[in-house]
Amino acid sequence: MIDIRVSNCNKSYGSLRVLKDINLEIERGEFIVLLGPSGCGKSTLLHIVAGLDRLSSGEIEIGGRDVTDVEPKDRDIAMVFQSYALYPTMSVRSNMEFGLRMRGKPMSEIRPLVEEKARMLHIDHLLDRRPSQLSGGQRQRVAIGRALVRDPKVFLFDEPLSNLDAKLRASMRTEIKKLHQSLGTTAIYVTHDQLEAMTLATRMVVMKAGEIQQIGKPEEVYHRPVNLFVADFLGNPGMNFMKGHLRLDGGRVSADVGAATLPLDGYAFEVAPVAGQAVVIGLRPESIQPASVQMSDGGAPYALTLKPILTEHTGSDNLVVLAMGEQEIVGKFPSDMLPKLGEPVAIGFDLSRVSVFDAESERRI
Amino acid sequence: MPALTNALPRRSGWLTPRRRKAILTRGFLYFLLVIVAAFFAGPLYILLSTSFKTMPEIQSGGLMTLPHEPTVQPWITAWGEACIGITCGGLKGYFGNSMVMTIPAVLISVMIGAINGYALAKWPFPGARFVFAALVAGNFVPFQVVLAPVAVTLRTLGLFGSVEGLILIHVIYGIPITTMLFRNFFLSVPNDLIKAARIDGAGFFWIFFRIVLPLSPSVIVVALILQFTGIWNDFLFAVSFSNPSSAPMTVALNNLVNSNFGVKEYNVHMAATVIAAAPTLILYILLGRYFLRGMTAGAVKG
Amino acid sequence: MRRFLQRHMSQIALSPSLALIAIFLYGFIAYTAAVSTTNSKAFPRFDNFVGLEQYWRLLHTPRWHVAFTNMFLFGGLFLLVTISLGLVIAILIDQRIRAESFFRSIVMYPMAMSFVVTGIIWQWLLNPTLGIEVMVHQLGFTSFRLDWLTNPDTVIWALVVAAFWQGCGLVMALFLAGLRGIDEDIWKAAAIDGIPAWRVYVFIVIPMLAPVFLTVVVLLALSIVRSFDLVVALTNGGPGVSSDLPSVFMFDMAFRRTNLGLSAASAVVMLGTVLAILIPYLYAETRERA
Repeated sequence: MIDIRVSNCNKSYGSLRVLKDINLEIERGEFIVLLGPSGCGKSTLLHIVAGLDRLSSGEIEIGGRDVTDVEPKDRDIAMVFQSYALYPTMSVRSNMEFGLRMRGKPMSEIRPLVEEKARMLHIDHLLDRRPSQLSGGQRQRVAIGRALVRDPKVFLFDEPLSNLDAKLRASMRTEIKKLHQSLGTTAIYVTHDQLEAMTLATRMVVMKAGEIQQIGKPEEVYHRPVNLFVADFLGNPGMNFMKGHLRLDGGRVSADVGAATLPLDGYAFEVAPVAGQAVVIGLRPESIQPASVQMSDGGAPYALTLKPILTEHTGSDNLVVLAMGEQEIVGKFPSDMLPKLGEPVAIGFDLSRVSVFDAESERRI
Repeated sequence: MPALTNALPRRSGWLTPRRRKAILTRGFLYFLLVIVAAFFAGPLYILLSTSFKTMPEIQSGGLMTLPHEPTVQPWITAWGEACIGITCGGLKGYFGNSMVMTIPAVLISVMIGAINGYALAKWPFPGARFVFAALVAGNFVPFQVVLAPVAVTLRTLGLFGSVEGLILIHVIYGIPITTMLFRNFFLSVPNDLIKAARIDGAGFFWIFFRIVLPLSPSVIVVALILQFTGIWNDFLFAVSFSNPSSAPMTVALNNLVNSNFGVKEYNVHMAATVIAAAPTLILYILLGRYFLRGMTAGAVKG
Repeated sequence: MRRFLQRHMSQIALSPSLALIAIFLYGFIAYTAAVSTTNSKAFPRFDNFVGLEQYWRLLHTPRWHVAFTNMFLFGGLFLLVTISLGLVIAILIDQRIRAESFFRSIVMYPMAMSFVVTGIIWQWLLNPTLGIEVMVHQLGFTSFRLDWLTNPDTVIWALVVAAFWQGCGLVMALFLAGLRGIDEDIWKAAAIDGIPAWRVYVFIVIPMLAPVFLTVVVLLALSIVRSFDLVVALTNGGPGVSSDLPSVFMFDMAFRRTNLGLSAASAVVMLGTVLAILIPYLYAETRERA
């Protein structure tokens, strides 16, 4: 059942087009993450769903009702802000009660509800404090609590964790995930942090310059990016790109990338390959390993002998920069395998994970 | 915060050349500061001491001396008996006029400025910047250019020469400065707060009174001081649009001191001057920090 | 309807102010400009259009010449004195002195007073028979003369010193804030390079205060054009008309000489002067930000 529908949505500030013809359908209970670099329009889209910004053209439906012209308070949504936006002059309790009081709910119903949600978020001992007396993590919990109390149809999150330190961010991430699993409320979550997007999303929406690039499950977007932008935006370290052109020998397709010719027998082309077509071959670092390591599909890797020119320990793995003709590629080696610089090693390419993009259109083929 | 001299060395050696130089420079610095302080404080001291002297003592000279036989008679005369124009009731009536004019004018203009500033800063709409510019440009206009039409308008409304008329004029021409002050302050209130409150169901005025205003006590104090000082001290509007019965302090004081009739009672003049300056001076002493902020913001005002 | 109210509350709340300012400011400026093209006397009339004759007449009124020249003379001296001494006092106060807030408060308290009060105070101090002159005589310097108020050639100095006394505090405060805003590392770097303090001020710090200078000049210039109360209370334009300013001239023509047309013309010239100061300033400001 469709819970939120965004149709042909456009937003401009003067001559600046922030959103270009956005279409998006969200099922009830989904956790949608809007991901993209800053300025891509993801926050604007969220604010438009919230009703805080008005769209220049298009329609928004929530729960089957056209809300394009409906005030935010009448959309049955709750929002968690990056800056938390707690009312500084009110206690935590009043902050959480505020939305329900504005809706005229009797205090006798509000009180127990607030206390229940506060216990759930472990902030029940903070109810009588002012926001300024709380730590960042506590403020974040209050902000989430304020949204929970309302029991809305949709939760909106605007980069809620970006003001927290790394460790707190990870634990709050887990908690938001748990909350969503237990409540099952539809949520839209804006972030520029791909780790948050990958872990939280049931589906993610990658945006760039006001346009949706790709919508899909996190693993699908990660492994089958539709274009070079998405491929490059996700993953750390980023995907390796090798320039080359296609060869067709009988029924067999391969890609000549200068230093090697990579067989693409297993690759499911979406567009029929053309001989000589200029392409970019994308392969993530974790698909470039010592030839001795087992491949994800259990098959034999495509092996090459390459010279390591730089290594970096990250703790869990070793990143190895390898010279491949004119180009450099990065492989992710297990932490106990550290090749010597300058001494060629046998490298296995897991070509079942390869992505092929047309060099000119930058789209997946 | 630089120091002209290096900090005094802590070593216990007695009067090294470097230390002597430091002490000399420091001494010269304080000497200059004392001269500066005397220049600014001296007039107030002379004003106060003269206001407690008798006329014979004043005529015998001794500007800087303390009164030999202090008397409060000049104060009593200035407050209740001095002749201003054709009436001889002292300043008390005019002090009352000033209060009755200033307090409502201040409260109303600050309220209007706060709402305007809030609307412009937190509820922008297409053209909001233009509206802001149009309102704030009023800060730069020399009010001489509107004197005549204001006089005509007040006559038409039957408010010429009344305290109500002065209140109206001070409220209207207070809009540019208070709007600017509040708008600039409210820009620093996080937009997310307004958004959160809107989603929670609060409207324009609810958010203003319950969320934005409680965050702004300091700017309210600044605005109140700025407007109080400006309106209390105003002379141009007062002299243009008041009549003898509605004249505020500044006009009465000027009439008292600069009238060409009768014997000049300088001690009474000085007491009257202190009375006229007292309210704003007390505000300054009590709330100096806010005062400076207000003056800096208000310096552009007409 | 309710939705309309909710959505446009911001505009609705602003509209009364906008209407008042549109009428009382822009409307009235236009009104005065219109009156300046008529031959209005005691009351504004629009049936006696004379074109720019009032401006022509203004140009040939000796008293206006005095007033207009005085504005620049007084303005120039006042700017020079207030900016240079204001800066020096700010630098003195910025030397990590003891009782800093005491000294600051003393320099700044005059700005709490009205110009009428300031004018009366200085009228008293400069009174040749009772004021500073007599005090100096009693100290033994009997040839000392301080006849600014009675000498048409020097009366402008009386205005300058009183205006300085009142206005210096604000200028000092602005400069002090500017000095405090300068990165302390500059002083450390200069100390390591062995540059004497006065050179750091002259060649590094004061140039860094350029934006403050600009603000101060504009603020003071605006206040100069508008100066009215001080002159009325201190000299009342005298002796004769020797300390007249455009604002006093304008007021006199409008309310005492019943020559509204000429008065309106002088008010428009005042507004023009302000615009001449302001437009380049705002232009520079907006260009800086862009």
